[in-house]
Amino acid sequence: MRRTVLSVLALACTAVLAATGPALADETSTQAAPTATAIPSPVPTEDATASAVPTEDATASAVPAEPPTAAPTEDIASPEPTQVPDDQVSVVPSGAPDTGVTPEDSGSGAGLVGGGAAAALGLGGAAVFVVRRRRATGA
Amino acid sequence: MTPPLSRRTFATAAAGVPAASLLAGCGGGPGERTEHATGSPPRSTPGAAKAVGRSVPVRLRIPGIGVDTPVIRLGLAADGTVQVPPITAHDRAGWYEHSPTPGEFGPSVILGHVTVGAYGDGVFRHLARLRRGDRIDVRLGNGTEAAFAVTALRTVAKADFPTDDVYGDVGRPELRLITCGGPKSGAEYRDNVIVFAALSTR
Repeated sequence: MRRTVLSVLALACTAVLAATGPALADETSTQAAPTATAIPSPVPTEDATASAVPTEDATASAVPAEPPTAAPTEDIASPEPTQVPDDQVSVVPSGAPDTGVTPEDSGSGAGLVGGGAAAALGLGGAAVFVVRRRRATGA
Repeated sequence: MTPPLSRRTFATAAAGVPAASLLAGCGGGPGERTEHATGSPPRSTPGAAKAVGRSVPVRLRIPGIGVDTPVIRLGLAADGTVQVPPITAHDRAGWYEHSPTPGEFGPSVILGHVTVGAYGDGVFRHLARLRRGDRIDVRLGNGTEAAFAVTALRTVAKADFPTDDVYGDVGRPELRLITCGGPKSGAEYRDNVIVFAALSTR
């Protein structure tokens, strides 16, 4: 008897859970899940707005697709050193590019590096010398 | 049963939302770049390689002189001259953004330093060693590669910079690599080394 009562209780509980499940699903699906099957009402509206946005995007992306022929001419008009609008290089720079800083300035830097290396070598040599003298004195 | 199903759908939906927004974020960058697409001029030269679609260069490789560098964008300096890449260790090459992208019709211009002061040699230190026919590869932002072959190399005094030859219109996709060269005068060089190259048919 007890077992049957318990099993009936368990069944009742699962039934209640099953009943509340869709309600839970409603709540969650309104937030995030457009694919939930139980709730037709919020989903279409969301879908409608969602589909409306991409079409707007599509038109927005379609707009730049047309003007590219006009855009370069705007670019051409703005900066000072220009040529005829039809040019492949829309803005021609003036003068020659300064693409090299001579390494002469680095002379002092190289000297410092060399001096540092020499100092390190000298220190190492002194240490070796001291150690050898200590050993030689029989310590 | 419905509860586990709805939970699962919720979980997948919740996981899907950030993933979708991430994709949208990644897609935004390249989309803006393609806005600047320009129609290529109708002119063409017989025997020239077919032009490549517009896409910003991201990497430059010149196997013959050991160049393999990222490519940055360069605009105009305040005085109207072309910007040059920053003076740093491991300096990079830069593409002049008002010129065509490599592989488009016209002269695409890429600049690099021959030396970078205290940092020593620049990325284009051996540019003057290039010879006619040497290969230059440019990887573009859209993943494609444009291969060029050197057609000429000129060393010209900066005072006589051949603006028309470098920036003037041409009838095929071409490339210009520019650096400094010649004797030093103070902290600068007297000359520019200019490599002219044309898109090669693969």
